Amino acid sequence: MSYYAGSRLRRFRQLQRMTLADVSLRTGVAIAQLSRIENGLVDPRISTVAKILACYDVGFADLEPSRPEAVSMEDVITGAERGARILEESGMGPSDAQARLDWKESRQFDVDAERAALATRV
Amino acid sequence: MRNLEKARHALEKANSEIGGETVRSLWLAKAADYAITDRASLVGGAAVNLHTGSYKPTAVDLCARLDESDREALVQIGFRHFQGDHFSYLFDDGQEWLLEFPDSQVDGDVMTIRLSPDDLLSVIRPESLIVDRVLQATDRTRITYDEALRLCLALFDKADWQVVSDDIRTRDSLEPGLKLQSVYDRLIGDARSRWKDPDSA
Repeated sequence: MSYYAGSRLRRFRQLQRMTLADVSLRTGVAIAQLSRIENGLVDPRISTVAKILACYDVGFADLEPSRPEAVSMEDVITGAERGARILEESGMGPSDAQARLDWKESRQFDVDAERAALATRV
Repeated sequence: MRNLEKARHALEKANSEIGGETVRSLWLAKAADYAITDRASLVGGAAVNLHTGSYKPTAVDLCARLDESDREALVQIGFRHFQGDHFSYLFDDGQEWLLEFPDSQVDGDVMTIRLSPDDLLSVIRPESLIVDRVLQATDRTRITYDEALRLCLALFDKADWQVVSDDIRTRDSLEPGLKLQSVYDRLIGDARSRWKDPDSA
């Protein structure tokens, strides 16, 4: 299976509004195994993947994400500049990195390294 | 395929003064990507900054599962490994940037950015990024709400909102306790009322 395949399977399940238990019931694959497959922790048998795909009414080709043409670096920079202009004109202003770190710290995250790194960029 | 030579070249690009922090974040991510066999996707604040241009990410977040050889490769090209899957990189100009691997896989879809003719980087799609920020905003704090609103505004006339809505509805039906839909509805209402087309002036 490709790197993306597990997350694609989860996506198909979500689009079908099914729980892992629903899929387990229909495919006979244990819930824990389905979870491991979706998280890319195991390399399942082709027959197992085929059962799961059939459950979502999709085929193996659907496991590979479509690859639209890549966005250029220039377009990314232009988009970021435009986004900043939109925020300025809408009165939102830039994001406050210190406030974000305060918020993370309030949720018991260790942000010492982030604070130290941020200080080198002011 | 792991390519430390290309990884070092990407770090040189990140070290150059051309392009500012947005470009630096992309080349730093690409350097790490080459070091860990070209399978990472950029997510988190650095991805948000690609759209808002005003989010100073405190860490570059990549989705990929690391093994010990990946961690060693990152150290080999110049990253400092300080805890778990957390690394830092000290640029020539004195800036220290953090590199983290919060998840093994992207929760959503990805797109590709062409950094140069030969360097491609996988990045979370705008629509999946919006959903990610709406999910964060379900904690009902001002800070996460405003971050989600900034992204919605920056992408207001660019995102595929049908894709976002479908994703929100699906997730809400699977985890109704999150009340994702109500946060999303409020965000869209706020974005609509604040929106000003920057190209109409």
